[in-house]
Amino acid sequence: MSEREQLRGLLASTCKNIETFGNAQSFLEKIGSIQQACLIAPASLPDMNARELISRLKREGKYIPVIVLGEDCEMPRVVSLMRAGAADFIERPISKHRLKAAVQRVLK
Amino acid sequence: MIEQSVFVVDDDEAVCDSIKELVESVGLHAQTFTSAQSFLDAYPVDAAGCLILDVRMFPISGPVLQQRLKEMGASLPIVFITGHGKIDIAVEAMKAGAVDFIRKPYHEQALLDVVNKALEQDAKNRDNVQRKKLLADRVASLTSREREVMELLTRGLTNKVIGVRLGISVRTVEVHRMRVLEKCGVKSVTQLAGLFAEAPEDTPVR
Repeated sequence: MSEREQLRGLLASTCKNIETFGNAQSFLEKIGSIQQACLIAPASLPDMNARELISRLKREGKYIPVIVLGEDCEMPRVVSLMRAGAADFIERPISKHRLKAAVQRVLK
Repeated sequence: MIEQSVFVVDDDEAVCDSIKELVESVGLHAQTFTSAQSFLDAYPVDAAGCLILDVRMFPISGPVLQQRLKEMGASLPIVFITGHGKIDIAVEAMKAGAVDFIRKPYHEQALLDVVNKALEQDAKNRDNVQRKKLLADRVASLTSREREVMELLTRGLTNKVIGVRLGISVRTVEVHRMRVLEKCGVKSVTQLAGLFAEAPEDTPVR
């Protein structure tokens, strides 16, 4: 099972609308039509890393909170991601409780 | 300009001393505390500066002190330093608004850079608060009629239209207009509108 499917399952009871994208570009193409939302993205995507995606959203004036997923991360990198504007950072393996709390917090 | 202090809270006295020495070497003022409680006892809520804060301390840890300060309405920017690099603690501290989270042993120049950034942020926060207060004071000094006139003025309406809207003569609008500009300390409606446009919004919560 892909992580996308796994996340869908974990969040099924928390969120009504869940959309998944295989890369940053396909998300960015869709984002114009997205209203109140949050984005869950791995620290590195096939086409750009989470940091670049966050800067890009900021530059384009899209205020979507981004929850970043990562593993074996070094603290300076994680802190720098948070400084860059990530709304949250969750270490893999992802705990359902932690993920739900993070989504609920940023969507509030 | 109010003098800013670099407050240091770390239960390791040697760390306190070396940070004090470091920040004083670049001409900044430092105050050190070896417990969160002694800092709370001495700290005036509106003190200017920033706080370098250790994570693991007993009985009040760095993150708990951060929470307390937030509850007290203190806006002092916080830089965490820690000997134990737990990711989730760093993430929580950043979510709660810390400026940075640095691991010990810290690089001296890197710490000074972050301290400077935190002091800049503090100055900006203070400036925003002051401007908001000044504006609020000015608006509070207006009568309710003057406030109505002001709102319509800043929406770009002419004296004539305002007079019709409020059911008063153009001459009376002119008098109110003059008082509004006088009380707000501006020379024109453009400047008046600028005053409100400049009023900084609260920083959005991440």
